[in-house]
Amino acid sequence: MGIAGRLSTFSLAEVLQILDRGCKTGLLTVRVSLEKRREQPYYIWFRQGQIVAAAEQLDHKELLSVLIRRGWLDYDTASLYSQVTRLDRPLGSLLKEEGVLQIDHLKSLFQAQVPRRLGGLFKFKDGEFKFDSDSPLPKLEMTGFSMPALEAALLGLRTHGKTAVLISDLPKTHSILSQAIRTRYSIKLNFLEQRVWNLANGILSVAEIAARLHQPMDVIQQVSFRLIAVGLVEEVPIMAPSAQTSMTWNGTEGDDLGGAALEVAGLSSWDSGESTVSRSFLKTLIDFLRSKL
Amino acid sequence: MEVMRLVITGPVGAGKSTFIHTVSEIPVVSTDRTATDKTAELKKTTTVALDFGKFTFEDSMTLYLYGTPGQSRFDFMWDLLIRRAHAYILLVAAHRPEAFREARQIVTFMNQRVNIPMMIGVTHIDCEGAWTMEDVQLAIVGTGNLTPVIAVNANEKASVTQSLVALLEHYLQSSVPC
Ligand SMILES: Nc1nc2c(ncn2[C@@H]2O[C@H](COP(=O)(O)OP(=O)(O)OP(=O)(O)O)[C@@H](O)[C@H]2O)c(=O)[nH]1
Ligand SMILES: [Mg+2]
Repeated sequence: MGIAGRLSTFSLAEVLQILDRGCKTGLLTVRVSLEKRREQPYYIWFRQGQIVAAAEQLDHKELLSVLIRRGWLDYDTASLYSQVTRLDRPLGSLLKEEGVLQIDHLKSLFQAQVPRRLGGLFKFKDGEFKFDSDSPLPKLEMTGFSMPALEAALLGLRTHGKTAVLISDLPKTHSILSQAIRTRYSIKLNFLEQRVWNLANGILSVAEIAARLHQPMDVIQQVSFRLIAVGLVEEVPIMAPSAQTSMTWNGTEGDDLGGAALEVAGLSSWDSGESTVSRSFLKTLIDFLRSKL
Repeated sequence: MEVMRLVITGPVGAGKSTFIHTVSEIPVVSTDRTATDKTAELKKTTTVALDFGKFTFEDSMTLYLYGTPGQSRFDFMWDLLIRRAHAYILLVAAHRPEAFREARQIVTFMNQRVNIPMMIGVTHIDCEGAWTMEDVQLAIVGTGNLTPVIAVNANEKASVTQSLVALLEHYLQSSVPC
């Protein structure tokens, strides 16, 4: 099985991040829960990590009906196109070549179809998602434009983050931020995002970054959240205070299991900083393990 | 006497205790206790301090295996274990995407403290709703990363042994000078 899960435990931004990084091609279906147990499906198509189309139905007629509604195509012509089963290129590109539409038309169609609709999806806190990499691309729904999935995630969070993100999901003010090592990415950050990214050096906390940038704490928390959600920055976990951990040490049921375990494991007498393991040790160990296979 | 110390880490229920139990020659020193709150929905017991197992070969060489506790509170125990480790394995259950974020946090925590070879062992590949290895890798470390990622079933001795061999080979390549 492929990429699937629930939005309440795996955010849309993370899903988009994975599809982007994995240069995925296929169909992402998101079913958001509405009131009265109703569901609304959203379909988003990807080509090599770029979003190429989005729709709320799978009948491949949405783009055509928008064209009719905007008066850019008459009904009869539209139904002719809808019968073409195997378009070799996006409908938008075809209509442009045929002189029916201009580039500005296509741009505005794409804007409404992808970034705006996807942005709206960020408002939903729960729903199911599922990615299907075998699904063919719907040429009839495609304008010919595309945008990186990561950029869509960033846009969505910029517009809807304030309402969509739970306070409890925001990075703590004392959390330290660090640039993610897995970052090898050129994405357009806005001014503030860029500055926070620059200061995410594994030393400064969210609060310290806010102070440096003379910005309110909640603003910097939101910006940090975005950078974390799209995988550019990591929130570094800090050590829990020792008051809390002495409980673990003594075991939760009042016995001294933690201490006993340490004794047996030879941990209490360890001195750290021992060097690397020798080559001969490793070779012997590998042979030993192999002999057991 | 030469020893090597490996840490087996990962989110709750990834299979850390089982992994160590499967290969250890001594009865595993385990600190599992009845799980409470959220963990209880997932499993009956959870490790509260650590797991410890080992095996000796060629008389004087020993491999020690240490498992981190389930709920990653990142307390002194984590710090203590990782600072003494020669390498570590991050176990992640492929069918629980909700734990991937925590898995990433664990990697960040470890990498803040040590620079030692690590490997990702993807467990529960056989379970319903499991993500593919490739997608789990994408979710945890992204692309262009040289961390080895292998499938492992913590219940199967051959599989666990195989994963140890993979880690040791990676260790050999990355940190032992000729
Ligand atoms: N089906 C399947 N089950 C597995 C696999 N690996 C481990 N398990 C099972 O997963 C369950 C949880 O394993 P544990 O070893 O308790 O996990 P843990 O990581 O020590 O858990 P905590 O200490 O609570 O963090 C056990 O029932 C194992 O038998 C696998 O690859 N496939
Ligand atoms: Mg355990």
